[in-house]
Amino acid sequence: MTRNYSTTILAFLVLTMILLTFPSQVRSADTQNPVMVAQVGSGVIGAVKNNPEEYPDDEFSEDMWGDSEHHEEAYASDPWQGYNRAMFKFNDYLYFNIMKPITKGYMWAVPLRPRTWTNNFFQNMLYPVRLTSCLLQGKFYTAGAETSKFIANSLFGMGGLGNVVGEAQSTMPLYLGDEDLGQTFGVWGIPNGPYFVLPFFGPSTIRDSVGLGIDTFVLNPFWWFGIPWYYSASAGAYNQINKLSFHIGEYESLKEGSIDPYLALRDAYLSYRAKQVRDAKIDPNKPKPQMTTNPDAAPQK
Amino acid sequence: MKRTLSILVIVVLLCLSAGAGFAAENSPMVRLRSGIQGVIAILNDPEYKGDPAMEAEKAHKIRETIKDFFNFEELSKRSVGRPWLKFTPEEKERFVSLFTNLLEQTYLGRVGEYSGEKVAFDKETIIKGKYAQVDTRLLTGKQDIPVFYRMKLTDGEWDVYDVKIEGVSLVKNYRTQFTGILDTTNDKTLEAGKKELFKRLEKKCAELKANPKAATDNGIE
Repeated sequence: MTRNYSTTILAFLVLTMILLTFPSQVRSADTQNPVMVAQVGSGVIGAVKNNPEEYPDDEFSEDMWGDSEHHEEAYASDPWQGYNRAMFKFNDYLYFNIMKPITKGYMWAVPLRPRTWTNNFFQNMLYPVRLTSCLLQGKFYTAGAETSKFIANSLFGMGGLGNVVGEAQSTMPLYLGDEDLGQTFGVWGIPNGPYFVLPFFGPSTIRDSVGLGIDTFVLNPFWWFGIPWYYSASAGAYNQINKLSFHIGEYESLKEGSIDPYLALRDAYLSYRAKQVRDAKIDPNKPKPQMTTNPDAAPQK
Repeated sequence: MKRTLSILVIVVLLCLSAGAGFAAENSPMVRLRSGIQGVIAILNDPEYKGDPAMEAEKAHKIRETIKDFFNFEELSKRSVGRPWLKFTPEEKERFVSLFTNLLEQTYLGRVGEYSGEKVAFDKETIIKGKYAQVDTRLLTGKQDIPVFYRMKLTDGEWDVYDVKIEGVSLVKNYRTQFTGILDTTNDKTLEAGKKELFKRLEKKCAELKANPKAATDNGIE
């Protein structure tokens, strides 16, 4: 009897922990994937249209860059702004008062290397999420790269702790596609729908929320094999804390420079997602730079 | 005599062709590279290293260098968008100075995080002879961060007016925020909006100046 009681308490504690600590998004992401804000990563914008005749001589026009469509996609439909702003405040409070202190404590206790291993492990586990989206978008090259990376890391990388093929020197450019279902829907032409701030998960849209739900509960192996949900959820929460430890300061810097942080984050999220949807094909060959800066240059006297 | 003359002609011709060659080098990419290189040179300058007293001078020098290849008027104008046409010259000037200040306070600290990364310049696209985009990548070793610079030819010089990282454009991000404040329904609402905008900009600049960290660490407002 007492035992059952303590299990309930444990479950309750774990649940509270999860509710308090769930930050942005449970989705497949490499270390470079943003936590709340799209600030760093990789990708290419659509080809620049170079036809001067097409555009009127409007000094405010940005149409000439061939990414107006991209901008339109990032244009926010925000009918629930009252709710969204309230939720943004809630998440902001959560971030500064709970998430950040916990993550800082975690970073103090756990050195960079084990945190990287943890990240690689989760990364490897979330392979089904990314693979599904690669296949659904017809990105077979990326799907192949993902698969070969998954096999190599699982076999030779101690079950995913290492990232044996992550380096640029590997024989084949094995990048992660960083695909998820929200992007897949976008590639299929499904529009974003209204902007929607999720509690704990941060900025999203209706389309991305649906994708995120499926990614999290259907495609994520932590929710398979009858694992009790509170273990799955705490694993997800732990992954988030670990991931956040690589991104502390990004949300702060976005907020620091903004006049209206809510709108700044909304634009950043939608623009970043629009870019992710549009980078249909990543060029596996790195472009050859025409010139580079000299990092050791000293000023001329 | 004849020989001296012919040598002179050759020298003059050489100078001219060198000049022409130099003019062709007035490309957005070359200009951007020299601008960024200038900032890196200041960051590397041993004169400023490890001396807190020199930090202020270093920051000042970096600001000046950045101002040289950034066009903050154009950047401000595009960040405000069409309501800019209804700003008086004084308001424009005030806005440019406040906004420049805000950007400097926010991003100057980031510049200091530079630790020997290279910047690769991949491509330049010139449109209508007046606008250009230079595709660059910041090579951090672990991964490349693509950064696109958009530049405009003003008075024969290419100057940056927008920076786009990961699909997020600096100008557009601020335009979203300013549009939320500037209500252009009629002149009266616009005036009120402008007042609010200046109030917020001034408050932000004061906050950043007083304590660059506290402004963000204490949550909203």
